[in-house]
Amino acid sequence: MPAGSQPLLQVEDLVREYRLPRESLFAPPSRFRAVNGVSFSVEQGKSFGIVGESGCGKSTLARTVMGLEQPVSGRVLLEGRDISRLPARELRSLRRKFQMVFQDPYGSLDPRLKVERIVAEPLEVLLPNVSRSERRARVEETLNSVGLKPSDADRYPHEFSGGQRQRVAIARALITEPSLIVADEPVSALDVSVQAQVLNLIMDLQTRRGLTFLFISHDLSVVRHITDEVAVMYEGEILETGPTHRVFSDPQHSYTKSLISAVPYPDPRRSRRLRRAARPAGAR
Amino acid sequence: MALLSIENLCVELEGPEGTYRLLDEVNLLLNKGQCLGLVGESGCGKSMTALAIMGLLPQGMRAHGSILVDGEDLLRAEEERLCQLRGRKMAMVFQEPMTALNPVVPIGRQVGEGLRLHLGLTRHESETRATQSLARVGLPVERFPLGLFPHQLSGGQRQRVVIAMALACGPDILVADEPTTALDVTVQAQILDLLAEIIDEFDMGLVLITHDLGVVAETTDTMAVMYAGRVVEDGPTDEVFRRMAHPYTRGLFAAMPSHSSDGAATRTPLSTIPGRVPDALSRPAGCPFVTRCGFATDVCHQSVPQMEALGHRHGAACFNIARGEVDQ
Repeated sequence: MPAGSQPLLQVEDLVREYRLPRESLFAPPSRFRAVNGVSFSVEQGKSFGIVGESGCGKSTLARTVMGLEQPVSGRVLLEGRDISRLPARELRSLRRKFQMVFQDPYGSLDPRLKVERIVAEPLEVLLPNVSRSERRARVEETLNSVGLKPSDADRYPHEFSGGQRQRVAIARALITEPSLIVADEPVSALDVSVQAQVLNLIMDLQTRRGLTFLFISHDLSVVRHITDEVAVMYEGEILETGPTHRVFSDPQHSYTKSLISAVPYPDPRRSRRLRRAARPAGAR
Repeated sequence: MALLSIENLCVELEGPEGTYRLLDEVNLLLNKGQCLGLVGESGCGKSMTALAIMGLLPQGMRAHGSILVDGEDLLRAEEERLCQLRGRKMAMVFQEPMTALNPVVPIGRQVGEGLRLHLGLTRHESETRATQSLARVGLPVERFPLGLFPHQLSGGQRQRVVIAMALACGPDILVADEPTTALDVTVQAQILDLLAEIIDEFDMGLVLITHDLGVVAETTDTMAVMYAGRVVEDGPTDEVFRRMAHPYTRGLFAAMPSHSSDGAATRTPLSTIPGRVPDALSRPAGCPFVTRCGFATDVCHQSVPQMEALGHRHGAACFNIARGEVDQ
């Protein structure tokens, strides 16, 4: 990190616990540490990936960074301000600065609202003084920047395909002009060709607007392609972190190695799954 | 003789706005001990093909052509006969192990259900066979008693139970519809290893439906690329990957984030396939891929390309195979 510059997002020793059901009337209920002492920092304009298998705590981490969950201990600093201890009102006004994109483009958009309302909703809450015409103008401009048509503002979510819905979700996150976007598995519900379109959009926004991304995914090739730095999580802890190309080309931790080697490689000549027979392939 | 042979399979649905042709002249072939991969985007007819093989097409759909299993045409079989065949001849592994299992029935009973139904085994006998079946998929009874419920198992273990259910009656054909899509990569590798072992061990045929070209490359012997209800390219997996004759196959491959990049701050744009799969009513007149294809010429707009042999058992349905390959 260059001297004097402050990372946009700093996470320090973050711990998030969940209470498990009480097993005995007399013993205190046991606790499950979903996030166990996680620290990392992301600089302005960079994209930081978090990979790990389901249940490793990566989504809990994302939600805690967003202030949607309260940490037991540790701090989340956005531009130097600790957002994990802010009163609800201040946190809300600060939300302009950081927005989230969720995994499921079908579940995250209200089916009864038009796209204009969906995309403008953060504005209504965060900047209530914006006039109606200006709001419409900003919605159209934002839709344009994610590759949708301004006229799409008058349509309902069911009229869009999965990839277009995820563009609407990204537009909703962009409308307050945030500096940080937390994306939790934003492309895992999409087909590979549509996934490529959405990933290109994310990379484009990053270059064009200098946006900072915290990108959560279980898909290692996606993370490898679009992030600058990556952290590998396992059972609530970060096992390995560093520049993406180094972690992937020279993994240090045995867990990282096993994760990377489990990714199926699209070349039949390099198949690891040796079948019993090298018998001739089926006759037609 | 082929274990499974699908010839000119068409599936149609009568809708308010006309006839939807969901599958259009699909031809597929599967031999014993082989794995056939079906790939394509959602909506291209992969799952519909799987349902047709199982004789589980939804009400109101008309199918013609033929689906021959050991010489018997499933499309001409009565429902009663299909009930006998399902589970015994062909069995299915579904995508979501969470929803494919009944949450309030112990796993032993779920695996044993088919045995009692098809083979008329007693409860005791079916329990013995269920134990064997579960042990085969890596769930030994000592650690995983038959009385466990699905919620007590992890996602990978549940998928193993679903596979044990499918295997219980010793079917000849296993149809697996996205069996690992809901699973983590490490678990995915284990499940694919298991499926490969099983088809080798029991000399079964596996139809593996997936959208992941990596999975296809590593697991299958032959593959078919489907688009808008048609097979657009098929052949031995290594041959298809080597040539990628159809522009759609190449497009799918190019859209994947690169595995081989040395990583040095890549962030290069991925190539995409513009647009999306046309739905069954708005398919173009000529080649179904014409609206998204970079090589389309006049002839592509006018007539539908037929499957053309390119090599040993390798074929593609495209007018511009040579042109596309030169550009590569």
